Amino acid sequence: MNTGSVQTLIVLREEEHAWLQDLFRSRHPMMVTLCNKPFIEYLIDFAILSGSEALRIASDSPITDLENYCGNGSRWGITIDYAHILPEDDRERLLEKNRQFCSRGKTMLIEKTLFVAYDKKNDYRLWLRACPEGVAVSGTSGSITILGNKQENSIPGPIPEPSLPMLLTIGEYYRLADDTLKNADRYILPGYSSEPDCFLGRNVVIQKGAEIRKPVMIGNNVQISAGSIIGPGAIIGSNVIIDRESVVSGSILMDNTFIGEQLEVKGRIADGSLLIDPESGATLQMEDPHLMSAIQPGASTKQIIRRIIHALAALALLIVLALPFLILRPLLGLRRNWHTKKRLFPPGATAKKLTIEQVVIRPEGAYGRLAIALSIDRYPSLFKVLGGKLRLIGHRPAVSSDTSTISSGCIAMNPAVFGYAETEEWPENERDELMVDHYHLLHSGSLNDIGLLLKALLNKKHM
Amino acid sequence: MEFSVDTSAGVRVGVAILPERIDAASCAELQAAAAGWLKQTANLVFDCSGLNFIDSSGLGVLVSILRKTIEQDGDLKLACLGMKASMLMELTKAKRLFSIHPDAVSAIAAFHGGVRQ
Repeated sequence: MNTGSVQTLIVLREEEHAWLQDLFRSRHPMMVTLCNKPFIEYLIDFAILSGSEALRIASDSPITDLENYCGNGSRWGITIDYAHILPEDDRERLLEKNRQFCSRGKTMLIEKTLFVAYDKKNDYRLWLRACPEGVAVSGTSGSITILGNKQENSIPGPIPEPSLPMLLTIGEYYRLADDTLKNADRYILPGYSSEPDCFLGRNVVIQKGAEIRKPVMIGNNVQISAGSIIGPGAIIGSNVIIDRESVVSGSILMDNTFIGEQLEVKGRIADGSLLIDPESGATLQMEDPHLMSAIQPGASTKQIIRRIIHALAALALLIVLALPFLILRPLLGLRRNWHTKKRLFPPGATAKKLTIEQVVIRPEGAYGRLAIALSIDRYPSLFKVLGGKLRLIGHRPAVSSDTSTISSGCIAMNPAVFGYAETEEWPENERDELMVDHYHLLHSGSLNDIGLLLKALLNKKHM
Repeated sequence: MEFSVDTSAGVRVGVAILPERIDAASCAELQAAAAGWLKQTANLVFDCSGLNFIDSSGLGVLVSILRKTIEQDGDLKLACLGMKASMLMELTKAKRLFSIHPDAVSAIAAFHGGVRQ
């Protein structure tokens, strides 16, 4: 074993941090921000401070948003890659699957952990060098385990140790955010700071008459209207609008939140239209957009182009398949071989759902086989692509089961008429299909989608 | 909405039990009912134990009723405010306008002496 290099393996299991997932359903728990910085970034910071050259994120569920955010790690100067594990994988199986990664040298295994309390002034390479094999730090909400032998040379003087603060409730999250803001000099935090306890993001508009009181942190693209008072102890996320004469103190406003005029947000967490009392855990879903609401971030140019290309391709399919559909649909109806099944997507989540109507045709008789070969069963869904509610190709929810294993991590995968998995011959179950969908959602572009669509149309496996 | 008049505090106090929801659709009904209650007494207690949702138009009606009671030298007190309604009252600063009591009995008793608390 090469003991020179150090790497970090972060293990994410979907069942962990369920309390955070329940509150902030639209994102992976690791993408929930603490002082305007996703939790994953604190772990990356700590890995770098410990001297890690490579970092792997092993997850048992799709982590599209996390991968999009972290990429290959070049922005931090560290190599980041991703691995898939199964929920039932134990430690031994996990290490077996990542044997090659772990065999490069000393490995720091971070499990069940959202946040590591570190001090950027400390050199944790010394701590890691001195750590023997085994659990180095453990807390109620996670652990850091060292794999690999302790180095022989002794370390002089006291060695700083990281800690894992308790983080199991929204109250603890709130207190941790407050503590992080007050001890901002310990962490690498986003924003411009020309004076202590004050962090400002890009494109922050503070109108005349608004007052900012320290400690305070304000994200990017924030508008603070006249007469508002922000702080002390306010953490304002990005893409936030605070209307005139409102007061925000001792509170956290998550990204994309609108606060109406003359409101008072004290000791609360606001996420879009959701108001949370961190002490009691009580939540209030605002139905009145004049008071609080979620700001929908605009779609990127790439997404708009992709949507247009999907719509044009769907229109072409609608025209080409119109005649076969008009002939085959009544014939299949007469033979009772046209069944529709409605289902909600995504399953399980209570967030905004989309009703998807899927057609099931049995491959019986000449008409049935012909209809499937021509993808007539997908014809009604193509209209939803024109409306932008479905993608033409992407993640196709399984028709067979309502109790799908798809969960929150897949929310980002827009449902589609054709599945990327249908382009391949090998997927045997829904998990395999998710892997294929996940890969192409990350790596495919607009034009590549058309190529994959043709492949899906020609692939006879799904027929 | 149930309404009754209580005289245990030495003054006529109208006690109304608010519905589960006061929003744009139902606030007109509350306003019309309150007009009738105000003819009987200007001292009102709204029991909010069943109130689960209130929006800005509902809050507007409560403030309007409060203003009318004050104009008639009375008061509107709120009792049994739930967590969600309380959060909304704090957010909109409406909590400062109303005297809020843990239950209807203490709200009625607060009218003793006729001083607005």
